[in-house]
Amino acid sequence: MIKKEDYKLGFLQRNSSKIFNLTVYSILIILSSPIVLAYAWLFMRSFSTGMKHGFIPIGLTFNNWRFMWEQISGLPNVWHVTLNTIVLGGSVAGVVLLVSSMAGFALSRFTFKGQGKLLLLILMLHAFPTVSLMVAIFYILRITHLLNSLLGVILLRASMDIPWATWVIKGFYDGIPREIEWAGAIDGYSRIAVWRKVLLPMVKPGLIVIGVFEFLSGWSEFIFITTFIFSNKWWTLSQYTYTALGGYRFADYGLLTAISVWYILPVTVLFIFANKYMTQMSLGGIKG
Amino acid sequence: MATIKLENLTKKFDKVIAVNKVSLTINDGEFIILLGPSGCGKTTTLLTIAGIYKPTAGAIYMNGMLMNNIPPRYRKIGMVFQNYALYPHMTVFENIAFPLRTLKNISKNDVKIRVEELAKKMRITSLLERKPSELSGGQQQRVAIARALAKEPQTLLFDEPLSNLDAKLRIVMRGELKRLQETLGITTVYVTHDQSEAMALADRIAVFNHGLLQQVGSPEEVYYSPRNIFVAGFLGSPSMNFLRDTHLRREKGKTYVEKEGKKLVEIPPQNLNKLKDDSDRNLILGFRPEDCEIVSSGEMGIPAKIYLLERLGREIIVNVEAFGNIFKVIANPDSEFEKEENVILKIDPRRMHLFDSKTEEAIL
Repeated sequence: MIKKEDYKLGFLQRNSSKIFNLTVYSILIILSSPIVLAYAWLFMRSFSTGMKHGFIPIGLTFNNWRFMWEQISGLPNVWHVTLNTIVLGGSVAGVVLLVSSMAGFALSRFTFKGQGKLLLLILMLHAFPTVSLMVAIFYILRITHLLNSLLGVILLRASMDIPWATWVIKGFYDGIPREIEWAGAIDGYSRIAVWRKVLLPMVKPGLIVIGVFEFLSGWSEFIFITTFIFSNKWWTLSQYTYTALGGYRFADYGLLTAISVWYILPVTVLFIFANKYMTQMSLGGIKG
Repeated sequence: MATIKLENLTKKFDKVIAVNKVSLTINDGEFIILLGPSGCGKTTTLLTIAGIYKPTAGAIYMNGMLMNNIPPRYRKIGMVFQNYALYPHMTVFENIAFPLRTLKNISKNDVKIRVEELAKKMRITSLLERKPSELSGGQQQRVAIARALAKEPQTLLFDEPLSNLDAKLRIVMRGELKRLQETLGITTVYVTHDQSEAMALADRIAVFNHGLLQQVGSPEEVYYSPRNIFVAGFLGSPSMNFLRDTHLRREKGKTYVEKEGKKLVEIPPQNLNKLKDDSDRNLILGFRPEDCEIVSSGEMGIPAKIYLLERLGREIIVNVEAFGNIFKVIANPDSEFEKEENVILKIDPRRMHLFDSKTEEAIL
């Protein structure tokens, strides 16, 4: 017989899960507060004339956001730059998605000689620091007449990221049983049609994750822009922000914060939208 | 509909020979079951018929046409997989309609009519808007069958379709499958490792082991006249009892099977001409648990001792010990046995089997 006295629990035992959660959340909040506060400061500063004691905003103003409707000396038109950035992000995402969705399928489904070594090589390629390749890339771009062109940067960024994306999407393909593909073949579809109509929809979470990451990769690209783009006709927001930051003798913090907020805003929106799929990453995972 | 002919079909994976020179003709409208333990090549054979695998050597003919290099989609087949392989991102309706969408000149309405007709046949009409993940195993099974039937295939292929269902549902679905196949009359190739499923469903059973086709025949043929020890032991539950190191002995015009000088059973005179080989060789005596009875005393039979009783309600499986072996015998539930009791095992002479101990081939 179990008696009531036998299972009487102490306060800590009864509330152990609550206490655990409370502790975890407290630690997380403390750890993330510098970043959160920094963004909050950035946002408030962009709409105020100054900060009292460094962190209390004073005077609401939209003057900091004037770069959106007037020409700032030394900087190109922000709308044009933003469009360039969207084109860069979108194209990088498009190219990477196109290549990795097919390459990942091939690596997952076909066995060929040296497959394991190829997979390792792909990972290794990804591990090389981009900066070490700059001189070689410069030569290649010059020969192919892709210097000072957005297309050059798009292809560069994409080729740097394709290995990673291929690994990720291969993991998703690995999780699909062969029988599903066979069923498609028996149901009357060619291999390519099965891939398009059955497999692609099944790896959609992976594609969304890659799409978002690659858009951001293009969106935040700086090294290639600043090295291989010479005319401000092809600037993107990273170069624009950098120039605004470093190009003035007197730092205009209001303008700077407003530009920064403008630069991170689309990213934030994208993350909120894709949040659901990001967490699914672990389901596909990376399996060798 | 379809006749399928396999000619010396061989499939190798690297160095492993999965299917070894299998020749088999499957008749139009026949329900044939490929039976064997896991890794025996039965599923590989099925997938080669489906066109998923290409044969390494040999040939597959369907209606007399060589199919070796024809992709699955042109073979007019429908297939049900062990894990059902439904498309998880599509609804049940979309799953069943998916094969239909490859047909030319089929209107949206025709697809709808056909899907609903199939859903009605498989009794899944209420599930059409659901996703496969919202269905039970049995319901997924029905969807998979409906999808396989969608294009009115000439051949139906089943790969262990019932293994993922619980025991009770398996028996129910088994009956439904048999009934479905009989009404449709579609040539059906069905893979299973479950011998009772094979006995219940098949027109003919093809028994596989180690990539080799062991025997093909009606359930009765493979059950009552197994060609070798493997087939004899694989079919039937509990499986056949084997007694090694037995010999033939002739006395006064009669032929007996003996072991260590003890006469075990007499071969009936009318069966003597069936004896393929009557030289004095080391033999294995085989008898099924239901083909013998336990008596308290007698001239002829295997002297044995009661070892263990398994009471199953409808029958008792009596385990007896004889010559260092444990034999299983099915007995009437009202019979009374004492443990350690000395008894005689009387084998039904018309139902006994003899195998050459070296080749393991049946000689009677």
